Amino acid sequence: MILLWGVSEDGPLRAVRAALEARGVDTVFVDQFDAEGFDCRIATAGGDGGRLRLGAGELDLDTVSAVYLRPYPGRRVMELMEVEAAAADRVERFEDALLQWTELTPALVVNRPSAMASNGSKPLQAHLAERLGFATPPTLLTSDRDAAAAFWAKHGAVIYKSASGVRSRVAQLDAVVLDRLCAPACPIQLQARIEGVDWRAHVVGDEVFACTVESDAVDYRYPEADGPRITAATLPSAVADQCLALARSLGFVLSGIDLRRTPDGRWIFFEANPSPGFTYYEDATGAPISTALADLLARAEAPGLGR
Amino acid sequence: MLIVVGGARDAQIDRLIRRLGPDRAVRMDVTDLSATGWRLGTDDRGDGVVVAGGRPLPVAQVSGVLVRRLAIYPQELTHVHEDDRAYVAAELTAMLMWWLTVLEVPVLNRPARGVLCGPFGRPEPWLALGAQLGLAVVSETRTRDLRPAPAPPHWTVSLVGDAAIGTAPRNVIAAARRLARGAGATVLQAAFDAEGRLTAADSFPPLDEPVIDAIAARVWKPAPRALLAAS
Repeated sequence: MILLWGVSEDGPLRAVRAALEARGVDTVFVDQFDAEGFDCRIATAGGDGGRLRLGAGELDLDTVSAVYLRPYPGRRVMELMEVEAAAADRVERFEDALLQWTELTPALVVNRPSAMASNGSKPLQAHLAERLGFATPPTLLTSDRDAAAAFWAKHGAVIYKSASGVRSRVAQLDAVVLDRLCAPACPIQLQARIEGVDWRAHVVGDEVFACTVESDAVDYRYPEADGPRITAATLPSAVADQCLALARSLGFVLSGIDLRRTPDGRWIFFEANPSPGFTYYEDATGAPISTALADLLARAEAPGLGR
Repeated sequence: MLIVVGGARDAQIDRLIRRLGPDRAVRMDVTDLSATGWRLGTDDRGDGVVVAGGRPLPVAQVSGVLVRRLAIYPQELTHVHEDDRAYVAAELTAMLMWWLTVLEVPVLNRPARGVLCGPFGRPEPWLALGAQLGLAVVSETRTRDLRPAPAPPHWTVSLVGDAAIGTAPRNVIAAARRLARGAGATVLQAAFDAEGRLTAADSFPPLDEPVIDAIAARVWKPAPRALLAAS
């Protein structure tokens, strides 16, 4: 049994569910839009005997061989559904308990919450990538205007973006932003702007699906005019091996790794997304990412069976 | 200088600073994290500046860090506009997560699994690890509406490296040490019931004098050259 958790409209979940069902693999979908009636029973130290109640039905969690989770913040989903506060609290507690189970179960989990946490600090992820041989952009976290100005002067073109996993628009540093550093609420992350072509590498188990993303925008997710041109491509084997090694070291079964190839042929690491919206790239390139993930999930064996 | 990353009103940190002296220990709270003067970069790693105790402090003067929090929380940031608190909390946590990982002095405990003070941010993984290590553990049933609280401990053991603080049978202290080794935790507090079963653990032992002294010994351990000179 494969457990899928998130909202039913989510592109990657929908694609993987369809691929699993096409193979005749049993799935159970924990749809956050229906979570008001859900509950689960688990042991605080992990182990056997967990149960998941989904409305009228109940599932023995020991029969779950693999999990693919992409839950949205439960509180936000409940707000969208305009449920009362007490019901939202119950859903939050259910999701917390289920999240704990995904941390402790021996089933294959794509990806475990503790592994995904590395994405909460981009400079930390870059440090871990450097240890595996990736080059990363010169970076400064600062709330010191003079230090920021010196960094800007040294590197010429500088961008700023969030250091955390909170999505932010990458933008070019200018004098207005620099002056905001006189009264900051938190240090800002600056990086030397790296010229080149963006690459996205999706790592699924031992497979790598790469593509180039060409755009005139500083952040291709926010194009000013035409959208980015996404084209299937093949990474040099050494870089693909580095991506595999990084995903393994971060504990990611699935990841979307952002790289840039400079005009002089260097590969620069930006970040590894542990819950990539890969259907955006799959739709553009035809790369079989969802079927590769479905195959991986289907191959996992239930830890509670055969005992 | 020992930096203690923790809450502004944490009385345990007051106790530590009183015992070690303000010239050896300083608190880093959320107002320090939001202050001007931070400078942490990859261009010149040893040349950074942090803010602690309300003033800039060169990283080169930091002897060690004791971490007394799991994250920065939005509700702590009363000096930040309400709409920005969640974002700022995430950014500050991200910065500390990085700095406390790369800092080349003792950090008790280093970040791990998304929390500033590793190895775990909640009690359940401690119990699960204890069970994996073959320790006797108390495991209870949890549901959506039932989250059992650990029973009051019969024995509590604080560990700072090899130093064990607390009165407990040798087998209980041995179990706490095994848990710390398995978790890769330098600082740990573990609670056991009367039968010696692990009931809870975390990375925040009370800062009693023996714990503070053990932390100081860990941070200011004699340099190898001093040890050679003494032998």
